[in-house]
Amino acid sequence: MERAHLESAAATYSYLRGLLSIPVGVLFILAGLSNLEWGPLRQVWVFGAAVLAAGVAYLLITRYYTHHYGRVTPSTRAQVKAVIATIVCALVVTGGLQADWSLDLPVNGTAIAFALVMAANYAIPVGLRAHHMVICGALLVAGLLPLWGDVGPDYKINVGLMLMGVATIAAGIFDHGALKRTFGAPKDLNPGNSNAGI
Amino acid sequence: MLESSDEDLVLDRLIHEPGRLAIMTVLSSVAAADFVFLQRATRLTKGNLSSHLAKLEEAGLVEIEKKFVGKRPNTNVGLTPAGRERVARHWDQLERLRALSRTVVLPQDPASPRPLGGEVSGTA
Repeated sequence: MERAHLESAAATYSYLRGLLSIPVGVLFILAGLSNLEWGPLRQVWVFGAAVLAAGVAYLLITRYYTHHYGRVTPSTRAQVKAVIATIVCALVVTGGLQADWSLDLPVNGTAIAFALVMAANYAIPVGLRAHHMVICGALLVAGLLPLWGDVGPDYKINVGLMLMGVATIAAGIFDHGALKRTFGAPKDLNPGNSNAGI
Repeated sequence: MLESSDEDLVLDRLIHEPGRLAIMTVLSSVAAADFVFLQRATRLTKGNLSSHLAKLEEAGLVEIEKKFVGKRPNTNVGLTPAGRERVARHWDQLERLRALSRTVVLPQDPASPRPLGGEVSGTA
């Protein structure tokens, strides 16, 4: 019996509910396209509708996970840690965006900041898996490529947002696969009446 | 040498059962978890999990709350303060036993065959 494995089951579950990352990633991509006034996304209401649809999708996916894999109430300590981590991540990514906006660097600060935040976000609580290393590494390399010098801050930030979206979706798909390997496929368990005669 | 009279190292039989130890260890890292998650995390069958939870509840180590989420019944389980303390102490005992087993050298049985390659060092 692996003590560490059992103790980290709840944290692993929270981080591997990868399908939840898909609507978030899609929003990053649409935000980038919307800012660049691409196609129908030049209309503000289209992006508003996309946010609404992403919210609904998020709720439905949450319900799917709760039904098939259960519900966990984190400890107060874990909740405080999550809030602090979210604030730190937001500050780092904002720093990357700000660097792209105000400094004329040949790299993409938005993509670099997000790659680092994403790697730390997995590495600290649950550890990096192979797909995290590949995805974060690829995003970091894309941000570090010295081809962002002459494109202008607007283009740089919004393409950075789209790269963030692709990385988030890819990580989410692989995370969901890892969740199934760790906790079993959805059909392995018939949740039904979870009282089970206690 | 390990003293069997050392009460501090006597294991709690209620918690030591693998299924119950798994349940309590999973619960030790969260405020609460529902039946489905516990089933996923421990890989116990519905019947086994149900029976272990009933025993743990009877001993006052877990609190079980039944409610409806939407139209579905949901069973939420959390450790009581006593349960949290007992499982932490149990793992501590196991760690100490493991550490002790590394330092203890068992006495040589004269009837047993000698190991190849010479003498065994250590004391009885």
